[in-house]
Parts: sequence; structure tokens; C-alpha cells
Amino acid sequence: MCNEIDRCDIEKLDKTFSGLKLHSGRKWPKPETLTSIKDLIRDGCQALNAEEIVKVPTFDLFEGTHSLEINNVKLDSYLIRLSDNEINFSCFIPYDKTSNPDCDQEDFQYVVAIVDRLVRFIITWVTDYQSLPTTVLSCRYVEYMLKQIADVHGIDSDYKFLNTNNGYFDKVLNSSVLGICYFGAFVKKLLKGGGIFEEEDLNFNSMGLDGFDMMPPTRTVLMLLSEGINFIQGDNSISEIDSQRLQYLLKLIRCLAMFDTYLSLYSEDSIPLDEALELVKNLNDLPKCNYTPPIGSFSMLIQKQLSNQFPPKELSTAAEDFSGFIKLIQDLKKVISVYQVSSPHELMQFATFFNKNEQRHVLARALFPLIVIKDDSSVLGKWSFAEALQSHLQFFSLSGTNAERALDTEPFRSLMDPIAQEALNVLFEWYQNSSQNTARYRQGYNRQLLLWDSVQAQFEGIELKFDGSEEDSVEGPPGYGSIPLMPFSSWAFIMKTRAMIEFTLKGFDLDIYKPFEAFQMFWFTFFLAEQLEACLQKVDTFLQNKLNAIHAINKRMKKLKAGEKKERLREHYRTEMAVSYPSIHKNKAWLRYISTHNNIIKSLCLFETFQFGLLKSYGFIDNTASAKNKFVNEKLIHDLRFKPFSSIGVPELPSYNVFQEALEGFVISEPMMKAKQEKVLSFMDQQLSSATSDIKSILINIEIGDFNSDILTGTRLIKEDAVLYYSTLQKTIDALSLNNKTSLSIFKKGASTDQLQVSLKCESGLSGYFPLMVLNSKMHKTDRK
Amino acid sequence: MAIIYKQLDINNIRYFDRLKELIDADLSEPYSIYVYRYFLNQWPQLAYLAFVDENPESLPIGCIICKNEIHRNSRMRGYIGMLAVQKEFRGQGIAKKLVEKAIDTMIGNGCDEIMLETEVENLAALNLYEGMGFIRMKRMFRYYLNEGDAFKLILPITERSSIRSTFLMNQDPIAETQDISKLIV
Ligand SMILES: CC(C)(COP(=O)(O)OP(=O)(O)OC[C@H]1O[C@@H](n2cnc3c(N)ncnc32)[C@H](O)[C@@H]1OP(=O)(O)O)[C@@H](O)C(=O)NCCC(=O)NCCS
Repeated sequence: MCNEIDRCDIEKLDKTFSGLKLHSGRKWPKPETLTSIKDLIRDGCQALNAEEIVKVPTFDLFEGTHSLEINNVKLDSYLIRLSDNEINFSCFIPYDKTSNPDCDQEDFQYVVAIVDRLVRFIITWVTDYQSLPTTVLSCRYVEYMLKQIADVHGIDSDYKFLNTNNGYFDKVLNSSVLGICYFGAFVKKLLKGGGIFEEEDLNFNSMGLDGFDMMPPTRTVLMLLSEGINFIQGDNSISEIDSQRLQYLLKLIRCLAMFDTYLSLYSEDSIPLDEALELVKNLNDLPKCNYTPPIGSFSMLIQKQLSNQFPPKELSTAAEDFSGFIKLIQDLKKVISVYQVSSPHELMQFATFFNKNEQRHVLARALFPLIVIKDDSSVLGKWSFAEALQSHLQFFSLSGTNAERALDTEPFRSLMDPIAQEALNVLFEWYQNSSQNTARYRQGYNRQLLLWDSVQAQFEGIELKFDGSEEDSVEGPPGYGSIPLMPFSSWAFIMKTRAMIEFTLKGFDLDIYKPFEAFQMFWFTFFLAEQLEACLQKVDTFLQNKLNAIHAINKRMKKLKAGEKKERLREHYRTEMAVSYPSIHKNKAWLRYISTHNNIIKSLCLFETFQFGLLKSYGFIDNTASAKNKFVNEKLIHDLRFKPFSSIGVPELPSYNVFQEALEGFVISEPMMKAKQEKVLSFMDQQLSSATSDIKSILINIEIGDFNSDILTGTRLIKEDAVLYYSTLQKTIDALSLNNKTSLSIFKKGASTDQLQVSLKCESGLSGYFPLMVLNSKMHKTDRK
Repeated sequence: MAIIYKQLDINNIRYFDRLKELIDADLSEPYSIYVYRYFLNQWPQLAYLAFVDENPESLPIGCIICKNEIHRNSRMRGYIGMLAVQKEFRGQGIAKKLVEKAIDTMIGNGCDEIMLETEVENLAALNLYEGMGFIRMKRMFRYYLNEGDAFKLILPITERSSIRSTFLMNQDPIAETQDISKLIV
């Protein structure tokens, strides 16, 4: 495309290139150590077929679509036009109208304006998803500071880089900018931690500035900020309000700089967060700052001059006020409150709910997995990885089993260890997934399905062969004989089925399914919930048998005559009552929670399938793609939708035909349509009232707390979120009921199926997992925008 | 008006610039020339253009640009990269025809599925594709540079589309070896 480039541009380029000089201070390699690649390139180019596309084997088209292009105004940052003020801006002079005729404000006014804008830019960057170079890094002082930090790396420095001989610039601005860079470095560490994704969650385009990785010690930053604050306090010549604003800003930056301790020291101290919250309120209470920063101090210049892999982008508009910090701070506070959990199951519930109702702030989401799964191979610094895994298992199904005791014996232990390691990895993936953004969250479950499935199959292989497994069993329904408990694989099965349910229902929340798919997704989830229920019941029966066995000791004891044997039995009974009984009781209460929750899901799914059946009975919907096109193949579409489950061993995916037959069971028709409908409606009502009563018991138990309750919710530390979650489900139930009544009145009126169609509606304030199937007018071509 | 549909003539540079213009008109940030060349040089037969008449001087008023490749060593995946119809000509079934032509060719090339991404807010595109049997497979958070979420849509063509790639690879070692040689273009 070279011939397309303006001739005059090439001349300009030639001129620029010929003017390039080597900086004397730079160390260049000796010529004799260099090899010329000129011939290599020339030969390579000659061998190139003009139609060939040059790309590495690892080429990624998504990244490719972000490629840049020389001489294209929208894609070449070299073409950014800058004013003289931007080009000539200097960080070496103070800006002050008394000493500089080009200035119209006082020194402190300029500094207030710069710091105020920078702090608001932090919000725009980390909360409003704008890029680093169009926000914080657009400030020339930030760029300068980062370069200086890199230059003095490894050298003793006082980090006083602004030497303008003006206190406001040298003390106040210097320390503020350093503090903000320090906060930036913390954000970079969070991003590198791997819990969140560059670009989609947060932009950290540092323009090749490596100062972010070479920060001074925290105490240096805090000390300089304190010096800055002292300087402001010592200056009586500025107005009270300016002094206050600057002090609040510097104190806020000081708090931001301390956030690093949540990662570097795993600090559990919420004082910097509380203080920051207070300062944000104070800043918001002040009238808006109407000073302006020195012209050119915020600029696109960095995009033009430094290593830039992105298209040019105008500077973002800084956040209006400081409110954006509130969510950040509150969410970080929530995350560090996780240290107060006292058992792995409380941790599990914390992870379940903390990001569930609404997406938490990106920095809080990034921090969560890093403090839960710590670098020192511990969970929250409280449990070793092995302890955490064992405790998870015990709480679900392992407690009181032969398999648990056999863990201390060989070869069981050695056979189990590698699988336990794999299980631990999946469990950690589960934890990490809980803090992902809403779209990744569903994808995470998609991955986990296979992993849990493999873990379950491996556990099963060993459990079946283990001597003593026959005692870990329960009596099945008549004709089934005894069913092995298999506590390890049952746990993996429970985790897997829960993941499958979550993955499926989250699809509604993300608007993945079309109305015609609603039946199959809800019916499948109902089917999964039933499978899960059966497994939970099996474990519960096992635990109940254990309790019965303890009671039986008492009965046996009563029948015995006084004597040594009776005393031994009494002793045994006492220990069982003191140790095993409460622990089994606790397990049962936890399983009751999981079952109650599962029942809610099951009832609501069943309600939705009936709802679909009714709408189909009246001809408003079908489970076939609405598209009538030569490419449409219903079975293939169905199979593609269920692809994630196609390889899962148990529960085995029902066939396409089974889905079709299932739907027929939900459709009613003449004769006696009315009577059948009444029956369906009463069944639907039952589902909603059953879900309502289950929600009520969970809410009551959340309120009571886990001490001595029938249902152990494990939500002590995440109470508000859990209550909101279940209350939202209750509101959804009310809305589902109302919507069904509306549909019924439409059926009654004999509305035409040509006029109305079903859409899936997720109203705000209701659960997106159970959308309303709403009848509304069909959109006509003429209504299109 | 009878619309004429043609495969791209890669040597006609005027068309090339015009395609860029058509596509860029609806993008907040344009694609670089590399992206266009990437598609058009390698799969010119998968680019179709729509014209209002047969006049050789006429410029296209709509276009579709695609590729097809082996995906994860397991199945042939067609991909619709770009599609646009000039504003004044929308709503006449032109996009639908372009998509059909491209899909027919990709099926002819042995595709097991056709994939694309589109913005969650782009109702016209979603209706268009879903009307042809595409379904939404996943949502991607802030996928586009203008910050919108996107959906990944797939139209299944053969049964291979509904088997996880891991299992296809295991089942079909021959496909694997063929894929490798195809990947290193
Ligand atoms: C999307 C786009 C290509 C559609 O082009 P078009 O020629 O107007 O589309 P068609 O007339 O072939 O419409 C085919 C189907 O698309 C859907 N559709 C098209 N425009 C629509 C609109 N404005 N609103 C809702 N649905 C619409 C309809 O389902 C329509 O079928 P119908 O008319 O039988 O109901 C065009 O709007 C466009 O160029 N948009 C900008 C670029 C873009 O978004 N590309 C897609 C990126 S993947």
C-alpha cells in the first residue's frame, strides 16, 4: 500500500529520520557485536508472495483486529495533533501568576486543580473502565514521575523529583503524584494476580513505562505525603476551603497508597478504607473545584511519544465527583471481611454470595482470590490446602465414614492423594470463578463441568475398590438393595451438578437463550435438581443412620444390667454424644440448607416449564427455532445448546427425543381443557408456595445464625448479600405469579397468536435466573428503527 | 430493484477501498488494512458484494467478509468477520442474501459450523442471524473497544458442531494430523 501514502509524507518522514541523532549518554552495543539483518529482510521480502499474509503460528485474530496502521488518522498515534503548550510543557518550573506572566492562577490553585483532576481520573480509570493513558497517565507529571522512579531504581533516592523551588509543586504535587503512581502499582499487581482480565475488566496500558514495577517502599511514599500535608497546614496564606480540599485529597491518596498492604501484607485492617470513605464524603461536600490545571499538563502527548500499541484516543472526561470511590472502598471492605470466616463452609458461602447479586468492583474482585488462595499455600492464612479440602469434603459427605478413617491408611491414601490434588485445583478454580465478571462467571462453570466430572470418575474408581466401602452405604428404595455412599465421588457429583445448574440458569441472566429454548433449559435444570436431590438424600440417610446408631447405644445400655459392660457402653455413648452427635447434626443442617436451596430451584424450574407448556397449549410458543430458513436444523441446534453436557458421565444428558416427549407431557388440549388447566394451575401454585416456604425457612435461619439452627446457612459474614439474594427470589416468585395471571386473562380473551409473542423478561430488582415469559405484541417491520 | 451479488475480485482496488468504507462506516474504531488483507487475501471466495446494477463502474452497496479454518484441530469452522449494507439500502433483504451466499460457500468448503460475534445491542444483526438458525453460545464482557458486551453466535451445520473439541480430537486422530498441516499456512 506504500504507493497510497502521500509522497509529501514520505519526504517528511525522510527528513525526520535524517534528523535523528544518538544520545551521547546512551550505551549502544559495539558495532562488531552487531549482525546486519538488511540482506535477510530484503531476501525475505523478495521471497514473499504479494498475496501472502505474514503471521506467526500463534496469531490471534481478535488481537489482529486491533492492529494499527501507519498514516491512518484513526489508527496512527503519530498523527495526533498537539498544541505548542502541550509540546513545550515543562515539569521543571512552578506555575504561579506572581512569578510567571503566562499564568493566571496562584501556585496552590494550579496544584489543587491538578491533584483534584488526577484523583477523579482514578475513578474514571478503575471504575468507569477507561484506559490508563487517557486518564491518569495523561498527566505529564505522572509520566515524568514514572520515568524518574525508573531512573533512580536501585539507587538511594529521596523521591523528590519536582525541583521547582516552589513548595506546592515540590512537596504537595510531588508527593501526590508519587502516591497515585504507588496506587497504580498496586492495581498492576492485582491485575498480574490473574483474577481479572486485562482490557475487559481493566486497562493497564502503561505505555512501556516500567516505573510501576520499581516503586519506593510504602513508608517513603507515606512520609512524603505527610510532609505535603504538613506543608499545607503550615501555610496560612491560602483560604480555608483550598487548604481543606488539598488536605483531603492528599489524605485520600495516602489511604489509596495503603491499599497495597491488603496484598503485600495481607492486612485485615479496615482503617484505611474507613478513613478513605470519610474523606470521599468530605470531598463531595465541598463545592466543586473550579481552578484549571496548567495548560498542557494533561495531554495526549504520551500516546504520541511513548510506546503505544493502541489507536489514538481522546482524553476521557474525569468523573464528576468522588462518589465512584465509594463502591470501590465498600467492596474492598467486604472482601477483607472474609478473614473473619471461621470454617471453610462459611468461606464457601462467602464466595457464593459476595459477587452474586451485582458485580463487585473490579479491584475487589481481583483481590478476593489472591487473599483466599495465598502465596504461602494456605487458604486465608487459616488452613493448609489439604485441610481446606478435607474440611469441604467432611462437610458434604465424608464425615463419619469408613473412607474418612481409611485416609490414614495405605494404599488408600497414596491412591487418593493425586486425585485430591486435582480436586483441590478444581475447588480453587471454583473460588476464583466466584469473583469473575458476570460473563466469565458462566464460562468458568462451563470449564468446571469437565473437571468435576473427571475428578468424580477418578474418585469413584478408587472408592469402589476400597475395602470397607460396603459399610459406607445406605439402603436404597425397595428392590435397589444397598447403595454405596462413595463420599468422595458424591462430593464431586454435588459440586458438578451444582455447577451444571448454575451454568444453565446463568444463561437466562445473560440473555443467552431465546424464548423457544426456555422449556428445554428449565426442564433440564429441573432434571439436574432432581439428581442432586437424590444424592443429597443418600448422604442425609447415611448421617441419619449414624445418629440412629448413637441413639441405639442408649437403648442397648438401658437394657443392660449395671456392671462393667454397661459402664463401657455408657462411656462410648457419652463420647459419641459429645463428639460425633453434634458434628453429624451440623452436617445434616448444612445438607438441609443445600437441599432447601435446591428445592427452591427445582420448584421454580418446574413452574417455568409448566408456564411454557401452557403458552404452547394456546399456540403462543413452541420449542422450535422461530426461524424458518434452509439452514435451520432443530436437532442440531438443540445438540449444540447442550454441547457442554454432552460428554458428562452422570447425570447422562437425556436424548433429543426425551426432551420432545417431556414437553408433550406439559401441554394440555381438549377434551376437558378447562379441567386440565385448573389442575396445571394448581400444580404451578404449589410450586410457588413450596419455593416461598423454603425461602422463608432459609431467611429465618440466616437471621438466627448458625448456632443451633436447623438449617446451617453459613452466611454470617455475607448476611446482607444472602438476604438480598433470597428476597429477590421471593419478589421474582410474586412477579411470576402475577405474570401467569396476566397470561391467563389473555388466553381467556382469545387473543390471536398472530398478534402476540412470548419474550423472556428480566426486570430489574428480580432474579435474572427466572425470567418472566411475557406475552407482548409482535414487532412489525414498520416499527423498526 | 434487482440486486446483483458477486464474489470479490481481489485485484480490483477500488472495491477494496469501498469495502473498507462500507464496513468502517459503522465502526467506532476502524480495522487496519492488515485485517482486511488478512481476510480477503486468504479467502477471497468468501467475500460477496452486492451491487445495484451490472455497470462495471458501480461500487458495491453491501458486503460480507468471511473465512473458514480448522478450529482447535477438531472441526471446520466458518467465521463471518464483517457484514454491512449501505444505510439507504437496508431492510430489503440484501444482508440476508449475502449471508446465505457466504454460508452456502462455507458449507461447500466442509464447514461443521459457522460462527460470529456481534454486539449485544445490535438488534438488527441478532435478528438477522437468529432468523437463520444461529444461537447465542456465550456472552463476552466488554468485548468491543467501544465497551459493549458481545454475543458469540453459532449456526450448527454438522453433528461435529455439538461435540466438545477435546473429544473430537481424541476420537479422530487423522483430523488432528491434517489440521496441523493446514494451520501452518
Ligand atoms: C445488520 C445489517 C447488515 C442488516 O442489513 P439489511 O440488508 O438491512 O438486512 P436485511 O434486510 O437482509 O434483513 C434481514 C433480517 O435482519 C433483521 N433486521 C434487519 N434490520 C433490522 C432492524 N433494523 N431491526 C430489527 N431487525 C432487523 C430482520 O430479521 C430481517 O428479516 P425480516 O426483514 O424478514 O424481518 C445492516 O443493518 C448493517 O449494515 N448494519 C451495520 C453493520 C452491522 O451491524 N453489521 C453486522 C455486524 S456482525
